[in-house]
Amino acid sequence: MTTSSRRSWDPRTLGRLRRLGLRAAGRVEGLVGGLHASHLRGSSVDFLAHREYAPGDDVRDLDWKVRARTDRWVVKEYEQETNLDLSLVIDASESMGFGSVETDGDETLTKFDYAAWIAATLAALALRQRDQASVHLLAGGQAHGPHLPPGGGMGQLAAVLRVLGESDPDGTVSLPQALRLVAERTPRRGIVAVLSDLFDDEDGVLAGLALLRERGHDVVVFQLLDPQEADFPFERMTRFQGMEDAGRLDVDTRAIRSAYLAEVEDFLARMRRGCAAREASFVPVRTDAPLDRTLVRWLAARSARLRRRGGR
Amino acid sequence: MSFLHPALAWGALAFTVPLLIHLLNRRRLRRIDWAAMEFLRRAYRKTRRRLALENLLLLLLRCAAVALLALGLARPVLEGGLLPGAALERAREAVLVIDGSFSMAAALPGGRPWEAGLRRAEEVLEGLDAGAGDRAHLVVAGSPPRLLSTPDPERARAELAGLRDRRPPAPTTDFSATLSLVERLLDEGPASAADREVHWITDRQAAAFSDSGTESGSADQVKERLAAIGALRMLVHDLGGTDPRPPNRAVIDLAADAPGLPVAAHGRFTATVANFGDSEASGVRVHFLVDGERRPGASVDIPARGTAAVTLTAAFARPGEHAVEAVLEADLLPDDDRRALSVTVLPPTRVLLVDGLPSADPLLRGSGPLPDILAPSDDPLLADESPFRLTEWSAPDLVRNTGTLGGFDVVVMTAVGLLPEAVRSDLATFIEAGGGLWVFGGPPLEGADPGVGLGDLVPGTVGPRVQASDRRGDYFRIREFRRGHPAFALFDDPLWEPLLTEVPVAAFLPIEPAQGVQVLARMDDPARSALIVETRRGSGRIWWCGTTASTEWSSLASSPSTLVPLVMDTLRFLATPPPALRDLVLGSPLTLSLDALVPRVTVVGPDAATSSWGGTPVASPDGGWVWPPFEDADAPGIWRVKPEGAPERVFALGLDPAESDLERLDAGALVAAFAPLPTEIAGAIDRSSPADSDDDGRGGELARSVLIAAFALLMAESLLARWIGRRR
Repeated sequence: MTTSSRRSWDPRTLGRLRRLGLRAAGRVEGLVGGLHASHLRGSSVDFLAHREYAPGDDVRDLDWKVRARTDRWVVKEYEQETNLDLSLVIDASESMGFGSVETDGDETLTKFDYAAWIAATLAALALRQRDQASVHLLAGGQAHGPHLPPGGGMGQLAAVLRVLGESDPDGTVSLPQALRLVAERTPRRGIVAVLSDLFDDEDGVLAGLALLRERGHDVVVFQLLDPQEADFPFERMTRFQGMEDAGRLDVDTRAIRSAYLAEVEDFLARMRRGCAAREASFVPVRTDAPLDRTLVRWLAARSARLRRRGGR
Repeated sequence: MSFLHPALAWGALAFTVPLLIHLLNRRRLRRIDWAAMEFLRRAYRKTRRRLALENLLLLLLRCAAVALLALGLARPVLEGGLLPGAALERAREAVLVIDGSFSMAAALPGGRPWEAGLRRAEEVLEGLDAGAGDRAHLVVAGSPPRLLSTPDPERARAELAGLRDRRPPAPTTDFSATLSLVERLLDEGPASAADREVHWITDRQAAAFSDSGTESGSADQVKERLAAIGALRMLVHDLGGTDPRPPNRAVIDLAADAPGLPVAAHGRFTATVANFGDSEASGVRVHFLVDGERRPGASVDIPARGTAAVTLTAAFARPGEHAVEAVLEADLLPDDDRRALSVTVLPPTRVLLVDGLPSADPLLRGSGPLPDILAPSDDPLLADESPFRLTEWSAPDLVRNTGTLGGFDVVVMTAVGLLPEAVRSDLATFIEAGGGLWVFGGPPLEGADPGVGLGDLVPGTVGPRVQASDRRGDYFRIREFRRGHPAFALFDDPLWEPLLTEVPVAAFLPIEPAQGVQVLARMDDPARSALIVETRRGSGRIWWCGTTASTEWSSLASSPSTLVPLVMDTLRFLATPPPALRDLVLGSPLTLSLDALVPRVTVVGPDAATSSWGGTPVASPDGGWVWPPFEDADAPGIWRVKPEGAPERVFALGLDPAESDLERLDAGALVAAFAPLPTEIAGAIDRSSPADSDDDGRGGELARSVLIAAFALLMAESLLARWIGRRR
């Protein structure tokens, strides 16, 4: 299991991601003006729409040209650039400690390490563009682990890196329950990035994601798989000792390989469909894939999708 | 079910090896902490039953293959047909036939088939239990076959142990007779339909399977009857090695030019050496032994599957029986590398010349130049080497000395036309006892029937004289003569033939031979009249020559180059007793008859071992004594029989040349040799291995089937494993 002292952050990945930036798929509430559209209508220069005047509206927003042509009282609404609130929900259960990828330093890269990389990179990206970031670490024995409240600036980035660096995956976590708690504790709409292998109750997980979406969050799920979990490259009789008290199983790996891979494929398909049905982004990630390539591909796809939807 | 290698049957427990490997593999599990257990469990649940079934099937195939492999090597023998339940309760009736011929002693790569065959027989006997009612008959296939023990398996084992230090006891194998013996043994066995099995242990020598026929019929007929017995299995144990034609060489013949050899005369002996291999044998050394003394030999090249001849010229200083041996350098089969010949060296021929017209003048006497030809040399150094001892009598001398002919070997009568009855009777007795009589024609015999004057000493009816009209320009000649006859040995050569056929004969008395009389020479007169005839009478012979020994009727007397060899060869022929049966094929008994009873007869074998000629001699009609046959002459070579107080007899025993040809029958021919019997062929064995050791490729038909099944199971396992692997 990787410790904080061994975990390192990759500034080159961050450099490649800067020009893409984070864009919220929906409207987010921000405390200060930022790069992201807010559902708060205001006096920004970007016209959004007309609506009927209602008592209490600022008369300065009345559109006199429309009144003159149609004899109706309407007010103009503008889109407000606001700060992004990025919530990083990171699964730190024992199963995330599984890893088989050897790094250059002859260390083993676990799924949690990879998740921490993604989280740190996203946090740095958000904080550099003056957005806010918070961390929900779902560690063993608790419904949720250390919680780093939303904050901005480079000090917040240091805090994020510290929280991630000092954490190790351990114990059992109920992901559905954790997602519900995250939804309750994140009143402001923003981006919720869930980083987990999703080895949990599938319906519960999807229900938790749906709750986050109901609260207006832009939800993106990074589903992490180790290459061994994805490819099952074993060749002989193997005793698999389950993490998180999952028991053990002696298996002729060659005999069971195709069936296992079919199970993995089905799982990913179910999760992809479930996330799509709940308008959450689903990003499957192999921990042997380069981090920058993974994020660049996702962010590029996301940016393209937003432009197609008229976002910026 | 029994096993020819019961110890190896325990190897069937090796079926547990795949199981142990499986269990050991489970103990050597790789351990890994795993997060995606739920996927694994689901996959496991879905595939568990199928995988368990597939793995069980593979394991069973592997276990069965290993077990069958071990069983196959143990050479199972299925007994009692297809009813194993009944088989367990039925006794076994086994006939063990061991090829006892000398070819089994061949030094093949890996050892001699004989020793291996004894071990194989022991293994078969080990599987028999006298307490369970099993019976065993031990037969050595020879000519004739010998039944060593019956029916106790323990007794058979004891007999087998007795064979261990011996050589193969049979010079050859009589296939038909051996099959007949097997048939008799099985036929005389219990009628309770015991499981019958015949174990034929052989080196596959082709000559051992020839059908010579027996009193009870041909081999095919015997096999038909054996097949009709039912519940019979023929298991042929092959000890012949892999070479279909082992390159054996042998002295297959040793012969003298003449049956008897006079003292000091040079005889020529020819050894025929054969190469039974498929490639030429170059520089093969052959030498001779004369009475045990080595003589220079020669190197010969023998073509593949061919022969070569080597000759020796030798003379013997004393009469009696002598031994000549031809010896080949040692090869595969030592018994046929030497061959012996018993040579009878005759003392000088004692000739009585009876002249009806005696005279000191050769031109006037009836015997013409004969006395001069037969007289000893004037050279005192050569006088002792004369092959003849001549006595000359007139006809009255013969009458006066009636009863004294026993001191002669041959009586020659010239110009004798009338003899008293007593003399004729005396001569007849002389001939019956082995003497020779040569009667020349001439004027004293013409006119009245000579048969009247000489009685039945004339072997036919003599006709009137045939006379040439002009002796100088018109005469008769011998037109044809019996070629190959010892008396005409010289004239067989085309170079010397004219010496006989061009001699002018002015007159002769033709003879119409009696029944059984051979015509040896006919004249060129229109009637093709017989001039020389020969007949046997008792142990002796009578010769008739229709012309004179003098110059009166023919020019023989003036043709010494014709008359000398003719007279000498004829007298030797007439004096030589019928050849004694001294040169025998190995396996034949020795025979002995003596004029007088002797207290002891000692037999000395080729290996110098002595034994006594047992049995009680019986008196023979001619006043001699005949000993019962000596059956223990079981080795090739010289056997010297030494009667106490009588001359030594020398017997030469030689191997049947057919036994030297080690050509093997192939499997198909071997099965065909036993058809229609259900025949299984056991594989070749390692002849140098101990009795209970393993070997490669050993196994009977059943073993082969089991091994094939094991191989099929392995193939099935391999294909199934590959198919499962691809599907997974």
